[in-house]
Amino acid sequence: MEGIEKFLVRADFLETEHGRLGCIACHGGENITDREQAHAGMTVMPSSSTEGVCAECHGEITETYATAIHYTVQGMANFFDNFVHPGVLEEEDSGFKVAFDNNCYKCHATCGSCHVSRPVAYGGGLHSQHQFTSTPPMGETCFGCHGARNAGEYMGVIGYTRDIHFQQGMHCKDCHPVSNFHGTGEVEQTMWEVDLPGCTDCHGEMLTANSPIEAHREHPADLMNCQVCHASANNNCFECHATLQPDGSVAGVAEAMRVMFKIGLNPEPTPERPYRYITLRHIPTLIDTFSTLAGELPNFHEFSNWKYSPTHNIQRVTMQNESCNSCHGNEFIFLREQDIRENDSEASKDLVVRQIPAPLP
Amino acid sequence: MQKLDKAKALYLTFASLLVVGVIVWNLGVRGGHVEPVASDACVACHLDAQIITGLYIPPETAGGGGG
Repeated sequence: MEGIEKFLVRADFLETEHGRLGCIACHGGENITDREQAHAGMTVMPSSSTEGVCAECHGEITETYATAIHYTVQGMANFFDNFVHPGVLEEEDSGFKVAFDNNCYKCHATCGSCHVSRPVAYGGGLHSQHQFTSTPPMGETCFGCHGARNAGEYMGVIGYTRDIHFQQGMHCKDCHPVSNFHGTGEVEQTMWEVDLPGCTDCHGEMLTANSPIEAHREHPADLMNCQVCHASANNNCFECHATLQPDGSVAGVAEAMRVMFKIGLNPEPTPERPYRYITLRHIPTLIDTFSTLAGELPNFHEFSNWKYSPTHNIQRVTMQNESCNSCHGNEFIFLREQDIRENDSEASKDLVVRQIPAPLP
Repeated sequence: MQKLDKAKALYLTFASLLVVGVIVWNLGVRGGHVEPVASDACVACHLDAQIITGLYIPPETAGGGGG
């Protein structure tokens, strides 16, 4: 990205409430024309702490944001607690901590990461020439961290189709409530425990006994998630190895990425997701993913490489719902024994569909 | 009559203390205040596309990751 895409400020920003404060009010630095001296001691990201400058006027938001998963990246921290042992990221000499601090933590989002700039993981810089945006531009912010999967699929950058909701002009926040971004004040452990949107929030009448869609009347609502019929192929990564770069950062390189569609068994039905069949996505973790930085993952075999995927490329008609037998008897769309790779975890086998739904006469 | 004056004085004292208390509490909750700071030298460069382009050499970046 060129300098003007990152650091150019539009003149009318200076007329806004934020702009009238002057650059130095938030960023520090010196009001002099020498470049080096002007930038000495300045703060590039004044919102890096939720107790920083944003809290002065937006305290009710920064207070809950301190507990939000976008701020804490707790979901990624849990990965290490689960795969290695609880508290491993507190150990200063741990190679796993090096990986977390120098790779995963790049997705830690400050207020400014969305409302004024791009996330660090997407190259940073001002997305709207320093205009603060109440609704951040999806392609510059959400996509920056979620682009290889959900946001990329939603926008049609990854896979074979866009999401119908994207085609209709909907933004992430049209489904996801603001609490999914700003938090609630309760410390969030995983994305699954927050108040996520559901298809039935808008399409509830489609799953009633009087549904106009025959397939909806024939299949109980807890048999499968909506994506089993209405999602398309998604992005799957295989065999990732983390390596320490000369500049101290850690890069994760996947050996392969494949766009494919798999339905598996739900290993942990919950009241929110009681389904027997679920859409899947393969995650590229190997037992030796971090072997160049730390040891093997001791609990690797306890967690599946195939995960529940709320795939974000919904269409009314898909290859697997065109007719009953597009799905029934179609062994290629179900996770089979032979789909489990040699270096996948043992737990992955629990999701294999050993008896696929029989074809209909 | 004297008793009534005393009650009035007591009431006024408590009311004033309450008002002062609410003001102090509010200041504590709201924290400080961001004051405008002259930044015309910063603006002189950051509003000028030519200067910004000349001063910044883009590094190689990657993006569009995970979840």
